[in-house]
Amino acid sequence: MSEPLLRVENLRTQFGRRDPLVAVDGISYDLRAGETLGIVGESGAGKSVSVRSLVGLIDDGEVAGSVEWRGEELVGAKPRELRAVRGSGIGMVFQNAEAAFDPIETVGRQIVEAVRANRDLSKRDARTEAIDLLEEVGIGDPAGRFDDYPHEYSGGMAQRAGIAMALAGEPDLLIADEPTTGLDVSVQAGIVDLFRDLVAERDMSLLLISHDLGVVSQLCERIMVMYAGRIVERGSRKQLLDSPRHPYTGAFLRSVPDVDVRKDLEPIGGSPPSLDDPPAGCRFHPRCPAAEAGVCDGAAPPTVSFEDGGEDAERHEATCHGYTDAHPGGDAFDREAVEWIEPADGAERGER
Amino acid sequence: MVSRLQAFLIRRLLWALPVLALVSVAIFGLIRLVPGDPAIVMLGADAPPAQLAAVRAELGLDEPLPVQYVDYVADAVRGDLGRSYVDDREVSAAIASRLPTTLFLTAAGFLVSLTIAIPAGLLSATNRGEWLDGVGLGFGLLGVSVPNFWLGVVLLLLFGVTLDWLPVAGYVSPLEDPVAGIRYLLLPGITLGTAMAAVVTRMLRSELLEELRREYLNAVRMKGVGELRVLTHATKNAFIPVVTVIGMQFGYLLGGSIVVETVFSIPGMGRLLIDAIQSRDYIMLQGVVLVYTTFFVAVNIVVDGAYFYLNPKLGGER
Repeated sequence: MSEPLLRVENLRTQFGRRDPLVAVDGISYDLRAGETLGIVGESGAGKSVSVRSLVGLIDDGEVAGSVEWRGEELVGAKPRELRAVRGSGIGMVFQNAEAAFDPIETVGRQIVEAVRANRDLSKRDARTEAIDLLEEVGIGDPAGRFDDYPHEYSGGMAQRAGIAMALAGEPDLLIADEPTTGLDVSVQAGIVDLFRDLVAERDMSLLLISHDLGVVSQLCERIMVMYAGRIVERGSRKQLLDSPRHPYTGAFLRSVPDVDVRKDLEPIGGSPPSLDDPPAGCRFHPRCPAAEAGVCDGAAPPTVSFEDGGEDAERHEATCHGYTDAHPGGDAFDREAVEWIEPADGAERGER
Repeated sequence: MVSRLQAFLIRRLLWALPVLALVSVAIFGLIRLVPGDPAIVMLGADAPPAQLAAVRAELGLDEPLPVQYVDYVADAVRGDLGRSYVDDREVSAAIASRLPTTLFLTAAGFLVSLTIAIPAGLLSATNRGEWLDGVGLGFGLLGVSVPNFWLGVVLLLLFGVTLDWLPVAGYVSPLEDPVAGIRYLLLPGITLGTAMAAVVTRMLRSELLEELRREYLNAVRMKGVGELRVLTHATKNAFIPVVTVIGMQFGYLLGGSIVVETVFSIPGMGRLLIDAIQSRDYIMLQGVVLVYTTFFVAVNIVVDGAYFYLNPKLGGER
C-alpha cells in the first residue's frame, strides 16, 4: 500500500489559554492519493477548525499533534514551508464563496494571482489559464466574466469561481469546507456534480466537510462522523449508511430528509455540548437514548472495530461504550445497532 | 455616454451649488451682524457725518440688505470680491497672492500626516497587542489631544531656538528655493499634520484590524502567497473608509493652517483673515472666508469621488 498523502495524528486545536476551548480533541486519520473522505457532523462539531488546522489557518489558537503532508510535518512548520504546500499541494474551497474573494478586485485577477503563485507563467499565459479554469468549472462566457467583481457573480457562480481559484495551483488534495451550504438546492446539485467530475478528471483527493450527509455520501467513499471535537464513527459510505454503529450516527441519519422515501424525520433531542466544558465520558451521552448511567458518563468510550461490508471493506470503527461488557446492551447492541437506538426502544433500554 | 463616476460627480457638483449659496448668505449675514461701521473704520470716529454718508453710499452700504447681497454675489461670481475698506486693495488679488502659501502649508501638513499615519497604522495593526501597537495607540491618543498652537511653540523653541536647526518664522516659496522652502515648511507642517496623523493612524489601525479577520484573506493565503500579499489585499480594502476620513481631515487642515500661520508668522490666507478681523475689514473677511469654504466644499467632492472610484460596489474602478 502506498504512503498516505496526508496523515493526521492526534490533532488537537484549542483556543484561549485560561479555560481553553478545545475545538478539535485528538483526531487521527489518513488520506491516500485519489481518495475521497468526508467529515460530517452538526455545526460546532469542530469540522471546519479541524481542516483549517491542517494548513496553518488557525492564528488565534494552538494546534498540537501531527499533520504530515507527503511525510513533511505541517504543525509548527515555517511560513515558507506552509506556502509551498498551500496552493500546489492543498487547495481549499470555502463555505461562503463571495466572502472568499477580495471584494475590490476582479475575479479574474484573483485567479491569476493564484495561478502565478504556483506556476511560472507570464501574465498573458496566466490570464489564459485563468479563463480556462473558469470554463472548466462551468462559468459561461469565462472571458467576459473575467473582469467582473465578486459581487457581480451569483452564489453558485461565485462558488464555481472559488473552486477555479482553488484549482489554480493544480493541487493534489482539494479541501472543501461546507462548499454547498447557503446555496439553493438546485445549485447545490450542480456543484456536487462539478466536484465529482473534477476529482475523476484531475485525479485529486477530496476532503469534504459538510453537515449535509446527502452531499457527503454523494461524493465521498469514506466518511467520518464528528461530534463535539472527536470522531465518533468512521467507515465506508456503505458501512455508515447501511449499518451505523454509533447511536449518534444512527440519530444523524434519521434526521436527514430523503427525497426517495417518505419518512418521519426525527430531530436529535438536545443540543451539541459547549466545547469549553464538554460532558465527561462519551460526549454524546446526555443526548443518547441508549446512555447507561455509570458507564457512558464515566470513562472515555473505547473504539470498537467491526467486520462488515465484505472483503475489501474499509476499517469500520465506532467509539461507544455500548459494545462493552459494562453496558447492558452488550451483544444485542452490536447486532441490532440501528434498531437498538430507535427512540421508543431506547426509552425502554436506556434507563437513566 | 457618461460613466457612473461622471454621473456621480455631476450630481455631486450640482449639490454643491445650494451649499455654496447657503454659505454665501451665512457669511454675508453674519458679518453684517457684527457691530462696527466700515465708514467709521475708514474715516475715523470723528469724521463729519456728511463724509461718512458719502462713503457709505459709495460702498453701497445705504442700500437695503437684499440688494447688497445680490450685488455681492454677482460680483463674486465674476471673481470680483471687492476692495478692502482699510487699504483699498483688491480682495481677489490679495487672496491670490496669499493662497499658494496656504496651499503649500496645507500640503506640507497633509504629507507629514500621511507619512506618519500610514506606516504607524500598518505597524500598529499588524503587531496588535505588542509594544509597537502601544506606540501607535499612544500616538493616536496624544496626537489628537495636543493643541497645535502649543505643539507649534514647543517645536519652535526646541528645533528653532535651542537646537537652532530650522528657521523659527517666515516663509520662502518652495517654487523659488526648494531647499529653503522645505526648511521653512518643516516645523509648520509637523505642527499642522500631527492631529490628522493621529486620527488617520487610529482609523487605519481599526479598519485594518477589522479587515485582517476577513475570510478572503485565508483564501489568499491558500493560494500559496506570502503574508505581504495578504497584507496588501487587506490594506487596499481598509483604505476605502480611511480615504473619507483623510478627506475630511484635509478640511480641518485648512482651519488649522490659520493658527499655524499665526504661530510661525507665515504670510498666508490665515494671516490675511486674522488681520481682516482685527481691522474690521468686512470685504476682505467676506472674501477670505468664501474662498476657505469653497475649498472645503471642493475637497469634499474630490473625497466622495475617490470613495466612489475605489469601491467597485458603487460602480467605480474598471
